[in-house]
Amino acid sequence: MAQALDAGFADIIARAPARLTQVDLAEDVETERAILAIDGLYGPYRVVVKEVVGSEHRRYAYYLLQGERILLGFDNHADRAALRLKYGDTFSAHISELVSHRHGPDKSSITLTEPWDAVRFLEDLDDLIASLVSVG
Amino acid sequence: MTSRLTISLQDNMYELVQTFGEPATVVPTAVRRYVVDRSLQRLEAAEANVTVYAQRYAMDYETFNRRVTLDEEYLDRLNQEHPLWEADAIEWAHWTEEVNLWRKRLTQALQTSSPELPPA
Repeated sequence: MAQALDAGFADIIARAPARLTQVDLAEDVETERAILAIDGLYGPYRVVVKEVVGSEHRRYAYYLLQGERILLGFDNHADRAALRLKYGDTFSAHISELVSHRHGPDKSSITLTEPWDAVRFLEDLDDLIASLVSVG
Repeated sequence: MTSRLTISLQDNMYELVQTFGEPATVVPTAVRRYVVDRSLQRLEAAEANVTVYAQRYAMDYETFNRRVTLDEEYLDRLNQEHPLWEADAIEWAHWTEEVNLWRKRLTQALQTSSPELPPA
């Protein structure tokens, strides 16, 4: 029988309850796809993690929220701002590409990043929150 | 082009297969039917997931992706109205790829000729 895709979710699933409270976790793993969605609390903050792993791509979106307000987000879905940062005037030739980037508070700023993963995001929450405080 | 496959069947199943015709004909027909049925199931499941997002954002994924990557006003509005849209979009993109994949596989399975079985 075909094996389920190993998307590396075991580490994330193991860490989530250790780092978060009130964790809501959904996993859908098949032979050629794996989808993981986690929603939980980190102290007063809400943490949302989504990973979609296919045979060709790993797509992700991670958010830290305070109530409904986005404090920061990491994802690799292309958007106009991220593409312009990466490709300048030729950005429209790359609309199907994955572009790793970080959104600042209220999505009012954006920076390109190296690819992130959920384990790193969960482990680095303290530093990430501290970085928000330090920039006001 | 064909590949050869040796399979094991319990004796009573082999006898049952024989009641439908020559096993060398019945088994490939059954396999083809299985592949078509499973491909259809996977296609329908992927389409159902695509529909959820298409309704939420009132467009198909290709249009959505074009707008978030090219249309600054739309992106600004989207960030206000659906600030976590990326979490939807990454799944939507995947399901859209699955729809295309399973549609292709279903077509391929349907185009594969089936050995002629005698009438039931």
